[in-house]
Amino acid sequence: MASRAVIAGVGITPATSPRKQTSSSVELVQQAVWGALEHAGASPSSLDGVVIGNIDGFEGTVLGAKHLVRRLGLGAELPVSILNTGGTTGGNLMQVAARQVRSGDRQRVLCIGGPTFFGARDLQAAINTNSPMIVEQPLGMGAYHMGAFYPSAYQDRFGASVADFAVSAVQDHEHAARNPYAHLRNTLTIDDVVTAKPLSSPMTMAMVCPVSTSANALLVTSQQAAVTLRPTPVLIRAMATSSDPYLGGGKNDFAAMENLAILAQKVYQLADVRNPREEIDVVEVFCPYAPMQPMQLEALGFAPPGGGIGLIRSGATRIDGDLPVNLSGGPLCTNAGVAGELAPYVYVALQLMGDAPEAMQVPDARRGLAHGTGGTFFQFENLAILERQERS
Amino acid sequence: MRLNPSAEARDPVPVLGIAATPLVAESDAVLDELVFDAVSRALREAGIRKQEVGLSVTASLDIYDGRSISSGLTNAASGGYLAQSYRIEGDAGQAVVAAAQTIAAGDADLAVAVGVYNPEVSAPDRRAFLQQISNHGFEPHFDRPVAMSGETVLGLHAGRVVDSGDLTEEQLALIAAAAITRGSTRERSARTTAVSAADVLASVRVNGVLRELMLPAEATGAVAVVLGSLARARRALHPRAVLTGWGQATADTTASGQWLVDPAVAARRASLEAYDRAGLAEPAEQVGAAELTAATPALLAPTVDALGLAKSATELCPSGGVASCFPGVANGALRLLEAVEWLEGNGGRAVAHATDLLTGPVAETATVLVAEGI
Repeated sequence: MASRAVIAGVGITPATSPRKQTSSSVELVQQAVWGALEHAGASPSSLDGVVIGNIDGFEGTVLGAKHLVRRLGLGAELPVSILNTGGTTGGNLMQVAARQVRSGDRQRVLCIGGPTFFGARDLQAAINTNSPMIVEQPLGMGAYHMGAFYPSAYQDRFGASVADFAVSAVQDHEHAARNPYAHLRNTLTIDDVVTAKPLSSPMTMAMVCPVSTSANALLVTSQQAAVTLRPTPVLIRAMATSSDPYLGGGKNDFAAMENLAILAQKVYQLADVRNPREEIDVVEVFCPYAPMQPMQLEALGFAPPGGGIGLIRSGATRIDGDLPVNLSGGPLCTNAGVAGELAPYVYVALQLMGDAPEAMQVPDARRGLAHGTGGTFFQFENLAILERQERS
Repeated sequence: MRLNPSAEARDPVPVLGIAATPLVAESDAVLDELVFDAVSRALREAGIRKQEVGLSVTASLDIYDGRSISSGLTNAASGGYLAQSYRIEGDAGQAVVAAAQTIAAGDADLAVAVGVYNPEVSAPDRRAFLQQISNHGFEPHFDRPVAMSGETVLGLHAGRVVDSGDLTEEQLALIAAAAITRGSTRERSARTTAVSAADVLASVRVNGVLRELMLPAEATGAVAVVLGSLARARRALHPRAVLTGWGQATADTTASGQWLVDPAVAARRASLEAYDRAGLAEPAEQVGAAELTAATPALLAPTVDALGLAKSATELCPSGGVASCFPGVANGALRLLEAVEWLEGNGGRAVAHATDLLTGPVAETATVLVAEGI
């Protein structure tokens, strides 16, 4: 019998660079997993499933999760599902876990996001192998080259400047400074961002996510299985994914995130959201490149086309605004691969539970939006509307 | 057409279409062509347009596919364009389970599961390539340095079976020969000649007691399954079977030694889940046929026992099983296809069991599907 699924516990580790990281991948994941269990007040023996992400080719292993999950102290019998959809792997974990619960097959499923990246150059080389093989691969195209297509087209359409694209970077760093788990916690000025090393026009180094290491975990349960757990449960009200074609040429318009807009319409329909700006209290979007954030906010219906930068400049997306966005600092300040992709879901859940770090907690947040994107030319999108579920 | 699965089954999910590309030693198609071919065939059979699909789940492995995030390439072909989709790194049986769960959850009316397997490296180098990949799937500190691989653990297990006196090498060869011969006349077989036990024993020695003809018959291609809700199925062209149960479980890693003494433990756990969902109290009496993934003849008895089918009249691997055709991570969907075809000829219930074989029985994730004829 189909049922509803909730988030009932989260765990997260502080992030740093691979160079400064003193814990192994296994140790990081252990910390996150046990953090989630402690947060939930759940025992390992009460779990009945694990959904974990691996991005082979980036990690130096083949399905390393097969062994990792048996080194976490969770026993030797949990069924394990391993996902890989590239940059949306982490964001898809919750959806798969939720369906295992909603189908009645599982009661308590742990989603695990571990670190994925171990060096910036290796990372770009690995990403090159997923780009189209006739033109893009031989040109050496990596992730941020693909990411630069969007702001370049946006500039052409709306006349945005490099300084305009810097606004979300400045704000994300401001937010990350309040987040004890963030990797980059320094603040930046517009000038810092504009004068940083050029990477792929119009993006500078300060507009591009760092390579981080951290881990996180999210406990998805049935409503019944959450009754005895500690946090205020967060209902997975609506969730979906949507995909564009593989070739960049298959996108109709790089100046607008059309696939995300289509997905948002679907998810809002499922959640009965009619006015997202008024009905959503907190937002975490996955924007590893600063210029993506205003475009995503437009696609999500928070601003009109060309209005995303103005929305951020207005202060509405700050912690004291009416639409706080990426209070974690987002992937622009912490991107640990699968863990970074799961992070929007982790942080929105924490906000709605009222369990976010004090300096970044949005008062009385009741409904949140979590988002992920990735794949070749960011072809994949995932999205969910989460709601605080008061206990009676 | 009758579409009334057993009342004991919880949320049964009809199979509306199931189809395979040609399963051949060397495919000249690239990944997305294979996925498109299989999915198109299955959808056409079901009378469903791609735009109607609520979710597509692909099973493949980047490292076989020779590119990172290979699902980016195959996604649109699987039905994922502007639609819900994701990729599981593992056997297609897991994709079928995920698709069935999505329908049982009420999250979609129609779902596609597709497995695709076409390693970048051709024969004769493929075996070494697959074993190298397999080695990278093992624990990095202790297992990899001593060259553990899927074939190694299968060989060690088979050696233990022989050393313990459970079976002789000749008996292993007899089991393999019977399976190969049974499947040799079938359209999808990768081994098309009947063989004797002597032929098996004379084939290339691979690892310990294992010979080449005791191992799965490697093939490439894609297999797709279209599942639908019971309500939607009533307007499908001709549903082919009903999934009444499914289960999934994962075995322990190398250090515990479980893979030697109880190599089908994951199958056992998965079958308990599947039988519970299907409402099967006495599977030995209720299952007419079982399409198994016994990677070696030494694994046949443990697998049958794990599925609760020992001492039963259940027909085992009527297609010849993986000894006849093993399309890598598409295998789970192929086993279901063979089970469905058996049901269409015989009726009753059949079971499809699959694992990915990346690391043999070590840390394997097994799936068990229970299907009823229509």
